Amino acid sequence: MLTESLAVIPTPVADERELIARVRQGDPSAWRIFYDSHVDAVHRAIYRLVRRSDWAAELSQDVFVKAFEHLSTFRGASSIATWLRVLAARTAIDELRRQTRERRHVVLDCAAEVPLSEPRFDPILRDRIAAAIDGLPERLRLVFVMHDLEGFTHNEIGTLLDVPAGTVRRQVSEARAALRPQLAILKSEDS
Amino acid sequence: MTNEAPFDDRDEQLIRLAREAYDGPPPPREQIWKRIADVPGRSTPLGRKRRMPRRSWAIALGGMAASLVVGIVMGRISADAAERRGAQPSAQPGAAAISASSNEQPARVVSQRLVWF
Repeated sequence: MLTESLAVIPTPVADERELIARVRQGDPSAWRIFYDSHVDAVHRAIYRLVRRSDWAAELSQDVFVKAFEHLSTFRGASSIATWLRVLAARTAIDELRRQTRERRHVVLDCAAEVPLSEPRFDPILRDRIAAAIDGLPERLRLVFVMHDLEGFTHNEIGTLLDVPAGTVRRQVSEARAALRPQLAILKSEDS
Repeated sequence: MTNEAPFDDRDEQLIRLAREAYDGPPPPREQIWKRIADVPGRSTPLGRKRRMPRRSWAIALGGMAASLVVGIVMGRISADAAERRGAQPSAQPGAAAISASSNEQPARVVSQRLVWF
């Protein structure tokens, strides 16, 4: 087990390439640095897609286990952050598809008690915008989150969702069009 | 980012607000890390170093080799037993076995062929 490596004090690395090389060699401190460098982005991307903190923690775990297993297949064509982002999105989408198929709720023991982050702006406005996004049809919500919040391209989303890039582009526009009136309402209420 | 959706000021504001609003809780870092470490039967940072490479292939090859050895040994035992019972293996067992005119105990010859096969 890895528990002993939890106590390893990470040593600084010069750059990402060196870090990956050390991870591939099995350096426990490099594993931890790698994890610490990317866990926030991976968790955030997954949470935005699945919208449950317990699932996000569970799926983040899966992403890093897969990353550790398959890092040897990383060829460096993109940044490791991009590689992880795609892995995270694929893992979240697979889980959403599985949930859709099975319609069962998985009870996980992790993170249910995790407090929400401190709001950076009006919490009511925040909740209402989040609710508006949650209210989108699922496919529109997914493409909006992946494109506008996570920065995937239409082609990347198309590959992940098995739809043509043109369809993704249209759905992103539909999602924005559906959200614009919500934003206008919120702004008019605010003023 | 070619051919991306058209982007105007309204979208920019919408997306900025959405990024803020749709952010999740901070990840439970230590919890996730501990669970990554404790995943049984999967390659984890340290577990990977200990894992025997291509272990499943070694097991499969070992199994096939063991089956082959057992087959050969049983074949030899059967052949010896047949010989003790007085069977006279033909110099050309195949020809004897398929020859309709032969009366030289074709059944035994066939069994001998099967044993050695």
